[in-house]
Amino acid sequence: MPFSLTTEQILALAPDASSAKAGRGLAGPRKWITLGTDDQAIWGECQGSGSKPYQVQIDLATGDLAYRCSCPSRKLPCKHTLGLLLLRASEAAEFTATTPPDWVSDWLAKRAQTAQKRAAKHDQPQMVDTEAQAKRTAKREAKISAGLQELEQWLHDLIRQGLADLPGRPMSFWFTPAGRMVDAQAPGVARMLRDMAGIPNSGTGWQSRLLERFGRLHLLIEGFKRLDTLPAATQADIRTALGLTIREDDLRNEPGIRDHWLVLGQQVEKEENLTVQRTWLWGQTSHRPALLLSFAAFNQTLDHSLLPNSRLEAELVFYPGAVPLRAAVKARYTPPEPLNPTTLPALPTISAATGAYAAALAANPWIERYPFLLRDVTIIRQGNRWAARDSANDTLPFPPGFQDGWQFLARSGGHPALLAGEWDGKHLLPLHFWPGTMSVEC
Amino acid sequence: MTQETSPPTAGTAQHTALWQELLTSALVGTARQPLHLPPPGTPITARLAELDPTEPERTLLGAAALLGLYRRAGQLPAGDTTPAPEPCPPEEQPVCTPRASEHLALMLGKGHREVLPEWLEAVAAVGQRVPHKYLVALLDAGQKQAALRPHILPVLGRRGRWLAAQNPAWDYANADLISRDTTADPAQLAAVWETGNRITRQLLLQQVREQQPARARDLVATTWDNEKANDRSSFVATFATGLSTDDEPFLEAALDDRSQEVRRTAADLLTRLPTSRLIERMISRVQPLLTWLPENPPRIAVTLPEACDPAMVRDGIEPKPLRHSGFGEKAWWLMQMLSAIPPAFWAQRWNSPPEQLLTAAGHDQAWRDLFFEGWTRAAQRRQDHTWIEALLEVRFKEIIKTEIQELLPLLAPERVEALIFQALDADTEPLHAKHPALWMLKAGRHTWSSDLTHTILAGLRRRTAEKGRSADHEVRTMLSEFALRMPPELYAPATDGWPQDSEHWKFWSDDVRKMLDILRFRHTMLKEFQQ
Repeated sequence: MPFSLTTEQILALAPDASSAKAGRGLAGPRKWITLGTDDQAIWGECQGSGSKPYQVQIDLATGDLAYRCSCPSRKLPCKHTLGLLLLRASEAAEFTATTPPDWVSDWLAKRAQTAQKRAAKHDQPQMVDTEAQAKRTAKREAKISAGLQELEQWLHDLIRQGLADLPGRPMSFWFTPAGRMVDAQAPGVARMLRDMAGIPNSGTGWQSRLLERFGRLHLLIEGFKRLDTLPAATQADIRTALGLTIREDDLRNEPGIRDHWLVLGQQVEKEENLTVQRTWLWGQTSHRPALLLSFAAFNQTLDHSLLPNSRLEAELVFYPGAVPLRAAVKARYTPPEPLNPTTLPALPTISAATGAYAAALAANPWIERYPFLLRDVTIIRQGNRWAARDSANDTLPFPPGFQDGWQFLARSGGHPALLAGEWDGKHLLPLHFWPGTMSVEC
Repeated sequence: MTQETSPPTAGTAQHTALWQELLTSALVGTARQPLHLPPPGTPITARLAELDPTEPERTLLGAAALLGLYRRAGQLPAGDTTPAPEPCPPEEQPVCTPRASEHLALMLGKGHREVLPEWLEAVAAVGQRVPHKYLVALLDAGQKQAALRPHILPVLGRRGRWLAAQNPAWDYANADLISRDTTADPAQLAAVWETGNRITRQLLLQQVREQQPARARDLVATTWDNEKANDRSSFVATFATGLSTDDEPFLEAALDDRSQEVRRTAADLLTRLPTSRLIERMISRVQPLLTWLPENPPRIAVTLPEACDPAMVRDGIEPKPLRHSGFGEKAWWLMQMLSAIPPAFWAQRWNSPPEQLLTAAGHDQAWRDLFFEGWTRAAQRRQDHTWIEALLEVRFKEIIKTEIQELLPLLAPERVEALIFQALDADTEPLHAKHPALWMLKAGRHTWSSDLTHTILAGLRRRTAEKGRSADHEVRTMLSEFALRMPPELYAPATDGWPQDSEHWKFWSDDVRKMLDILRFRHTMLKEFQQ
């Protein structure tokens, strides 16, 4: 079974640092009672604290890295899964090529069945009851409309009375209206409100930051009121900002863009009970960014099929909007392969990148994050913080919590390098860093 | 887009003022201070003028939406022209193999951390360096664990030293490596000595002491009066390398140094010389206090010193007993003085072998600890193997673990193994918790011979087959340490023959497995360097 994952990529799958550490601890053959492999999967039995060993199995054939472990851990992937992968990466010879035991073959068979069913469902012409759907949409929009009306009143009252006393307000001040927006089926607005909650206590300049957010919210409310009068792309942006998402399945029949897509990097964030993974791609020929989102509620797994610093040929369908960013994979033509950073179409200066960001904002004012791919930047220290600097001495600050400054310096040696990051208008959150022009062990 | 250095246009200044007005109005509330829109003049104000002015809140929010977006989109990156350190020059050492770096990653992630020094040494031995991506973790490890530092320095490569120079937390690694050419050329040597940073100078001194101790001493003397106290003490400490009577005048002068640490270091070094004025002064102080009574059995009569005078303090005697030392003040002074005198002096003066002196000192319980501690320290300072063995022999019987651990590693590995074999012959019950050999094994720092390894493994197999009691707990916990002492090429035979069917196996299995796992890891790890 070809196995292309590197230790770093495997550790990047770990849900947290302690899992990664525990996984490393299990990456020795003595921890395992059995280790097996066939042309599709790897598996192993690991002696845990219980009497029965934990059974770990990983399906490598389908490209989306499915796994299962019999341990009770809620962390996914668990340390046993990580340990088995790490062991496969470092000591492949320890795995005996054999026919899988029942507990593995049963699982693989079940997976094949599910995949078949799913494919069959796709192939079936979907019987869409357009009338019922239109009714549902109308009902939801009415609900949103009522919710937004209420929110507008709340916002106007706030502006009328003044914002000065907001730093003393409890969190519920923001979370109560956010909850009402969830009830009104506008989760995007709820999130905007929750994001505001921390701003009044975020130090100097909070007034400006908050007023700017209020402006964005106001624009959304006003936009929704006159939705029908706006261009289709802007309508889509407003729906997206409200949280009215299009189902991925509904996009499948739309034409896509076939290209070599470079996987720039990945960010995983926890929102309430939901884990959101943002994977940023860049089209090598189309020269456009794309964002793939993967969501995992409690105990679900994120999509691990695209790992940073890889490249694949695929067709992506973009969600509609004035600046289409979010996309879905419609078809894959090649499995992911390691990316060659010299081929990355990076921008030469920071001001060129912020220029592109400004153009995107002008078309869609609700954009929250935009990917930057910059050439020839160095990492510099500004007090306790870190920043990227280009050849024109322009800088973009990394977020205050950014920890890897020394690591970046160690890998670049102070030489200009390629950097991919996520720009939110304030901070550049690094996604990937390519020191040197070659993707070599340095 | 314009650069930040260009002056803001009249329009941007006006828009900044306008945003301030918006903020003021929003903060106090439109009820008290409604927003007054400016007359149209710029494209922005022209748009603002289109807002419906009848509802002040809506007007303000509309203006905030427009101006906020304008500000966000028009934000320019901040310039920073602060010079950065020069980029790092290319490496000169080759990097270790990818598999070797996987092993490093594992150890830095806390797996088999105890093997890290051995790995670092192996990398240094083949002249390689660590990959750049592990420098941060390695430098951090050295920051937390000072014992790792000497192992880390040779494998950092240029990148590592370049990096360490930028982070004060890693200053221990902030040394320029000094080539033999430099130490051979007096002009270059003086230049590095005068301009190098603290760590570099200390390393330089260490290197020169190994080859030409006198030259190193002269180097220290050239700048001595201008050095800080802690630099002076760490420089003097390097005299331990290549120490000789030629160093005595310098060290004797250092006994009058302003810094206590310098005085203490100098006094300690003077006691390590074959003879020194300090040793003679100590002898003349102690001689009147001790009397050999050639009775049957012989004894030593002790008179305690009356006072600790300034001359004694100058010679390195601490006036106040260390806490928990168990000594009274006067006994503490005498013990320290005894520790400064070569123990062989007493054997010669009283014309008796060390064993007899120790027996005589042991008769009187009141003075026993005083003599044993004084002579142990003295034997350590002199590296007097006859005395070390004599002291150890008594300590083995009593299993005084701390002293076994201090003294045993001072002996040559072959001698240590001979003593261990002796102990094994004397008590043939396999490796129980009270077996002296066990504690000797724990104290030894050398790699075991193949003979010893096989013997110990056989002993452990017997022990695990026959017993498994809570008293064996101490034995069990030592197995991981033993795995660090066994030659890794014996991994394969070490795995065989364990009594897995024994009823006691459950008691031992985890720790035996752990031991074999460490041995296996060392085996794989070192194989990476054997090509």
